[in-house]
Amino acid sequence: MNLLKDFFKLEAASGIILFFAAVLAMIMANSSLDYIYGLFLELPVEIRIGPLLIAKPLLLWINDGLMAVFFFLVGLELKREIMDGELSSPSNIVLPAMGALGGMLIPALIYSWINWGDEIAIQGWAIPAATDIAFALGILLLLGDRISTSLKVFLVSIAIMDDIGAIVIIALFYTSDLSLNSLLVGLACLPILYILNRKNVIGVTPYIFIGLVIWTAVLKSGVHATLAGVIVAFFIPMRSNENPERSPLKELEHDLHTVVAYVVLPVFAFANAGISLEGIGIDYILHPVPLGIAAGLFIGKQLGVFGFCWLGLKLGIASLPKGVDLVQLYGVALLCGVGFTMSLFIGSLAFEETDVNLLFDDRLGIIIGSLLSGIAGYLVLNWRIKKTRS
Amino acid sequence: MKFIKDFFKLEAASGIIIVFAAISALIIANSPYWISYGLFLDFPVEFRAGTLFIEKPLFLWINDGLMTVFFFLVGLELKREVMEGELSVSTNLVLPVLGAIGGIIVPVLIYIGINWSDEIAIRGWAIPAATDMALVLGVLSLLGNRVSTQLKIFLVSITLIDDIAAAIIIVLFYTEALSSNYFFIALSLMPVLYILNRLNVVNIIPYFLVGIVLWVVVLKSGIHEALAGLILALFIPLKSKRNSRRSPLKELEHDLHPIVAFGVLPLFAFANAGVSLQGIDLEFILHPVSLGIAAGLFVGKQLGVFSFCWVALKSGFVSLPSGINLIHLYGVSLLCGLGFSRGFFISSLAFRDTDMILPFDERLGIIMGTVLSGICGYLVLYWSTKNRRDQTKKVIHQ
Repeated sequence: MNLLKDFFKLEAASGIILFFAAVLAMIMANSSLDYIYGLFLELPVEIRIGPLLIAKPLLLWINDGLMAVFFFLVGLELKREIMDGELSSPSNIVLPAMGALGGMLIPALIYSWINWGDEIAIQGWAIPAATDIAFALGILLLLGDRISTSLKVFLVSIAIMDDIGAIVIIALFYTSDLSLNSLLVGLACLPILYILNRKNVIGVTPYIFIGLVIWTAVLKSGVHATLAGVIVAFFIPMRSNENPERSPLKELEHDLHTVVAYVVLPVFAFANAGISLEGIGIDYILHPVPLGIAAGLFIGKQLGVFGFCWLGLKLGIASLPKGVDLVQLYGVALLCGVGFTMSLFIGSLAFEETDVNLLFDDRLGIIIGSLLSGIAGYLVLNWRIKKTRS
Repeated sequence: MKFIKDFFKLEAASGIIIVFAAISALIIANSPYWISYGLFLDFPVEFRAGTLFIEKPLFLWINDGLMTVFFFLVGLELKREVMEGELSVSTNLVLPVLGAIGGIIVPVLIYIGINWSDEIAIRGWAIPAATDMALVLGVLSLLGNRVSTQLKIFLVSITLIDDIAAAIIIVLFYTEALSSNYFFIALSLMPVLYILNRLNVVNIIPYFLVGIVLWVVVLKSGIHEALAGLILALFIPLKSKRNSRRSPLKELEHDLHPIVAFGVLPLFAFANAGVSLQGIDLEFILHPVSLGIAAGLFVGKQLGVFSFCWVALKSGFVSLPSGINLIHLYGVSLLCGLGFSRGFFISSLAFRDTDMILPFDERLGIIMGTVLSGICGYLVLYWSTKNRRDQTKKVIHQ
């Protein structure tokens, strides 16, 4: 239980830091410091090894490189949950799986419906399907001890399933022209990782070396580089054969969690949330792209998560976790609409490479939708808790 | 004891692999494939972030970058030994320290004596002062259980002190023009590391991140960047306060040791030992530089280590560790002449920047001195120690 408590605490603190990083970015982007912000994002960083060249502005190193670390952590969490956590018993899976499924389908449908016919805009369909686990959990934890652990676990389960969905979407839909050679290099590394795992190699350094090779290969293959993180994570051994008390996976997860919560995600939020509001009128907000995202996050998420869960309950294939009622379920469904960093991430995949001066800013929709969902979710849960108290 | 045993086993296997790597480099450099060997060493690798630019051929990434990892490991070993190992008892320190000092001063004097008056050649004075620990333990392992653990520990203590001295020599004498700006940034990172250590942060990642910044800054300051590894290591906490059974330092040392033993050092030996023997005749071997190095390693090391220890023993304020006699001590002194990869490292610092075609190849001297010391040291120890298994057999027969 200590592990779970530490996890929640860290995520909550991370949510608050994320918020400040985003606000700081907004302030910088809208003050006289905006050129420094721009210079920071466009700082060229390159690595060259003979004919192999990786040259990107800092923004893309953050989005492709740092986020690979984040997805590595997601992969570790996923493996642990499946092997001996919440997701190891199938009866626990059904409800969050239904919720996550609905929470991806409905927002995507709403967005597609609003942006139907616009070939560029439609690429952003997956933006409102994402949930920012750190932020959502952070809001939930603002409510303090009055929230039951089972509700927190339920939210984390939905968010993890949502992450899986995001990973699949990134692999299937946001892959630019595929380079078979690079992909084969990446594939060739997998047997090595498998042998390391089978031999129960505990030292993490070999995995990091091979992970770097896979990251480079995946990056060059056109598949999004962050997926390398997920794949490598699956090969980290769960247990040490020599000393059954120790788990390399859990130790690594524990060490990385702090770094991701306090460094990776805040840096990502800072680099992506700086929207210049200069010259933004009502027509900017009402543009189909931000409108579709905001509606997808705020309306689609609550409708999808709550609707599908309710369906599952009515059909009798799932049951509510202990101590969770329908109103609390609805509050959690609202919180799932906080897409924030995950949505910003998918947004960067969908629109960054078109390289045309876009007539809209998808980030505006993400922030509006996330804010609305977060506030509404907080109010609903707060009201419910007070009522049960009295 | 299991920890020490693992340590010796790993080092011994590493010594054998290092020799193989060096021999294969020699073969390739003197075969039709010498072109690909050269291409491998000159392979350009560069990193650029805004105005920060680091560009080196692969050869220097191996010598400077990978050796940082090696010196990091040396730093971890040093901290552990000083805090709770062999070197934590000050009387255990005296003899190895004296031996190491003698093993540095005498070879250096011999080299300088031979190369006096040659301004370029004199730069290599520290080459014969270094000892290759992995190779030393590799030779010891060939002797099997003839050699007692005390003897091994004594030898490791000498070579560890020698490594530290080498690091100090590199900083003091092989530092190019010092950039004070970068030097101060490097200094300002020290409090950060100190706070991490004081707060007993067990997580390695923060140290690693600060370490990378430290490495870049030290590199840019003109000091040899391998030093960054040594300094970083001293800040890794030895104990976890929360869980007293765990030690971040020992876990890291344990994880890194196989990588350094089987990856870093063999690669280093492979990249440095490829001496082309084409056109080499007696004149090359008798050139003062190679001669000075070979004489420094073979004659200077045994003379220095043995005589300094001997004087200390005669004056009576230290005694030999139990189970070690004077002949063993002499064999150990000979083995300290195995300069090899450490000699290559210092020679690359001493001569690489002159950038002209040198009329000598100092690596020839290193190889000669190392081979001579190794063979003689092995024979002396083989002759002076009895196979303990035979001894037990005799006892049973009687």
